Amino acid sequence: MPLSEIKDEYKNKVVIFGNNRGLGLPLGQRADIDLLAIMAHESGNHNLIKLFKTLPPLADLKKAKTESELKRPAAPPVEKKMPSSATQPNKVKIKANKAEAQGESAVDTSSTEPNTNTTQ
Amino acid sequence: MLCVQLVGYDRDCGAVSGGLSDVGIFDPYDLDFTQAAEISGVAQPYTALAERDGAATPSIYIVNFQIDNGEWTWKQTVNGCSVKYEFEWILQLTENSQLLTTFLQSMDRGACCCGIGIIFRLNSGKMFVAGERFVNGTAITRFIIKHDGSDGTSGKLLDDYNGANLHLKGSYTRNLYEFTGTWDDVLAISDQAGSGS
Repeated sequence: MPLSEIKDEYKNKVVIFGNNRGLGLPLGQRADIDLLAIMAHESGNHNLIKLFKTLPPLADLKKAKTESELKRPAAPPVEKKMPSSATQPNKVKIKANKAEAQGESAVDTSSTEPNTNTTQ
Repeated sequence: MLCVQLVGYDRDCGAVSGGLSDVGIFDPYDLDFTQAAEISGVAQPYTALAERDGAATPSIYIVNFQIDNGEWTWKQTVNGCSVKYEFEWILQLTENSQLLTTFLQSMDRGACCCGIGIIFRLNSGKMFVAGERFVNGTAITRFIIKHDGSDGTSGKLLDDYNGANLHLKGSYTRNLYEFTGTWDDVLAISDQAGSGS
């Protein structure tokens, strides 16, 4: 529930700010008008300020914004992918350890490069 | 900082691509941009735009140029302490037609009367504004963009280019400010609202 409120006569006005997903919704239908209220404070734009019936203090708006962001469900954890150049040495090392354990020479068979260690 | 207040340039490392993705034009008197006050002397981007009272609707007109054939260039020069930034946009507009002629006529009118406002998005995703007149409800110093130097051809052969190279030019005291909204929302107040283009 926004802290700020738009005057009735401006509820059909469209202002482009934030991300409205191209819906072109008028101010009366937007749930993020507190963001516009913050912009009105920070810019001092009298054309924005005049749109509001209720314009709470900037500190209250920012506090509410922070609280709503903290309440937002956390994004699912993202598995960090290392660049292939960074993972390759580990892969070779693991294979080398495995080969040592089996008493074999450490050769990466997944490599497409010709195996120069092999005797013909 | 005993003499001058400087700021660093330290962007997050990452790839970036060139070229223009989208361009819209507007009457500079129709739109009011919102910009937060400077923070430690650093100018902030535009964060909102609203049609001014009495503005024509739609207030933004989309220019559909030939893909991969739109470019924005700029050049800074200084004479003593006097700084100038010169800008140019070159857009390839396909096909000589009545549509093209009337579009160019409107560009000529804009250039002669009050300039042409441009809002455009780069392929990198960044959006910029040029030729704006009103910021925070106040008229800023004149930033005039003109239609100047366009050319065109019919071509000779079937596979020759048929159309125009639109040139828009202007100069100002600084480089362009970014607009932090989304292009979808710009489209919502344009002549292509609802077209999904």
